[in-house]
Amino acid sequence: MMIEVIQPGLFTSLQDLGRFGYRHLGVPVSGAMDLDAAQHANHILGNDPTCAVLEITLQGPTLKFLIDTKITLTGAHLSPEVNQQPVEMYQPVEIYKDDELTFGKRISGVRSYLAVTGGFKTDMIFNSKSFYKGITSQEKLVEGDILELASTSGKKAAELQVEPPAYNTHELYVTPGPEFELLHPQQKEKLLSEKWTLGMNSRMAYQIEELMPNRLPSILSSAVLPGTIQLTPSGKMILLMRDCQTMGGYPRILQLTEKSINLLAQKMRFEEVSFRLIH
Amino acid sequence: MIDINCDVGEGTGNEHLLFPYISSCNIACGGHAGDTESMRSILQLAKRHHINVGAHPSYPDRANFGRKSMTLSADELSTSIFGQIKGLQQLAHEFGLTLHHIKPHGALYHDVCQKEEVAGIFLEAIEEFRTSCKLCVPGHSRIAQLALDKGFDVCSEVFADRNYNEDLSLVNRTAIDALITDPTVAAEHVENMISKKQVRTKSGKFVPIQGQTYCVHSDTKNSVDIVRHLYLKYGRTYPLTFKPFGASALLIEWPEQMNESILRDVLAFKETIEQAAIEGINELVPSIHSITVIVDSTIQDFDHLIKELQALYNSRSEPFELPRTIWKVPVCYDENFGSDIKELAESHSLSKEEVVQLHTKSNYRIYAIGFLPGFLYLGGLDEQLHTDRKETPRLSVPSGAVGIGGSQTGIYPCESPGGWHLIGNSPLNFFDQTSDQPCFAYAGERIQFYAISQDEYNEIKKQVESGQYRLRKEENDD
Repeated sequence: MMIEVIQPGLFTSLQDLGRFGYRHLGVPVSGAMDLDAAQHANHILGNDPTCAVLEITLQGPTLKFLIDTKITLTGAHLSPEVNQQPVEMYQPVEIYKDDELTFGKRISGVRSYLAVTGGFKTDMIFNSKSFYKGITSQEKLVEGDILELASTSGKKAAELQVEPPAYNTHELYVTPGPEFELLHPQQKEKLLSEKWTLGMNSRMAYQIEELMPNRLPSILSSAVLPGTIQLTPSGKMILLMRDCQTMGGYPRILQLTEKSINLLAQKMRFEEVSFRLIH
Repeated sequence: MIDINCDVGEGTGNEHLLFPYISSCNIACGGHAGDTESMRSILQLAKRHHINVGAHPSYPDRANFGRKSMTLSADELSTSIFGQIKGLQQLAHEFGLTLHHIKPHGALYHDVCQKEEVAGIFLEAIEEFRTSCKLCVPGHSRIAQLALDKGFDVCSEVFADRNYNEDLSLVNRTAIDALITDPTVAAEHVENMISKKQVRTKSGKFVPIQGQTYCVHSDTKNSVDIVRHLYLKYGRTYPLTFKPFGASALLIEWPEQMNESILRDVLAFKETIEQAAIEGINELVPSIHSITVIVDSTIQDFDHLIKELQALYNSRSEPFELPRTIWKVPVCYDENFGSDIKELAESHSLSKEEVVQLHTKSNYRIYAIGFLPGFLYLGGLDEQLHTDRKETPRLSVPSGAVGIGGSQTGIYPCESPGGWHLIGNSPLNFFDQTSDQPCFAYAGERIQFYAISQDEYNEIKKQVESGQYRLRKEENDD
């Protein structure tokens, strides 16, 4: 009933829908960066939506299955192969004992999701299996890890036709953040009309390369959410993601919609984005 | 929201019952009642309840409780009044409190209102407090005008528990209907003064009146019920703003300040919302001056939720007190832990010992928990220790590190990068995800640091690791 991690890939972690109800103690929400893709993976296999999936970032792991089961891959297309044979994305795939799953060239997106029939059997901490450093015993997979699987449920896989997304739109939908109205009209104009280059990023946040001319001082620390866009006094824009801290002291100028957080999670450094305000 | 004041420290002993409901108090300072001990205990209680403290000087006549006029020379009267106020002021400073106002008592109150000569002596006597304290007297009185002319800040007082004559003098205490003791009648009395800006006098005639503070005497029968009634109807509330924060959160904000009065209101409202169990609300994230309400997809209409929450806020009932718990947190300030303590001490021209002494002296209020799991936002760092953050943050700060950054002090609950100056390390585990109560403290409680040696550090660390360590705490109002 398990999977052996032959090599862990760049950054591979278990994620589910997130960890709710503990933000008042400073515990981040976490969960799959692209929740849409993660949920599709479970759905295709007929899994419960709360099942954890493997989040695979850019360079995939090599996994050896020690059991017969079924898997699905969604999200980023990282050229997955089972025993050197390409497998289709967004489809249930039969797996037999001793099969090896590998990944190759990146075709699209950044984060790929692997669901296994019945889900993974790992510790629940604060009602979630999502890896987060300091909360779960590990933050990412390492070589030699053994992933236990929950007992295979007899549920029939769903007949779901999902078109693998291309992630080529650069437009991110936003609503005004709590401090949006503190921005100067010229700042708003610039913010919403220009294209911005994505910088360094992680599960915590994406930075924007360009600086935004800014005079807004810091605020008294208050809650931030996944999708909150902060503007630092020096003009740096920070797009907070699923592992973001629970409170922050920078003005919260915009808030990404849930769909746009998912889209952003599939974008690379140096890709361009623009912000489109909806109300 | 109205200011309710009470004359206190006069031996009635019901202050602890009154203070949750009032916003200002006038403390007897030795003239008609009160001594050093009573003043200290009232000041302490007032501090705990965040109440404005004022002096309540009187004719020096304890035998008659200051309720009879006295013939004193201008000098004698002036010296006595000044001495009473000054004495209270000095005691207030011991508690870090400043005098907010001065209100004369009993016969002296009536005399300064009616006799220009006494009013003159009184204003002369309190000249030193002219710019720092308000003067609490009836707005229509002679002294009010004189005081305004001299540049005093006058706070116009009216009485919730006294009946008025048509000339706005108070019905003499010896008359049967001098006092209002029925809470409902007192509330009606106040309501007229607020909404009509008129008072219903003894004869039934309404006469215009201006009130900025409403007095209830602590020795009036039913005084606690009266102030409670007034609190529930007019008690302090803040102007809240509600802002949608994405599609699944609503931000409730108080004025942007870090103070205990706002914190108390934030935590009280959080509890009220929890108890109301509103459908669709998943999670509340309280902070220093805000609550973020996380909702599920069944809530599409924020306007409706905002109305519901505002109504809930307006209907809030009993007052909320901040917890009295103070956690005692051991810290080893040795230089192998506090790698920046020497430099920090030098930058403030302090010795290392003085830094430790200043850091361990204060109680720090936990305003919020957030940022990292178990990170406490603490208020109350001594100004002498405020230090700008390091120019280059450390890539790694060890778990338990105690630091100072700007006007804040805090503990790193886990290993992380950090830009604060490190002055010590605590052997405790500040976040335990395997426990039912992962964080030892709650927002609103306080902590105090105490210094330990390297040996004690090692010993406590061992106990923490074997799960035997019990953190000390005390219940205190200081």
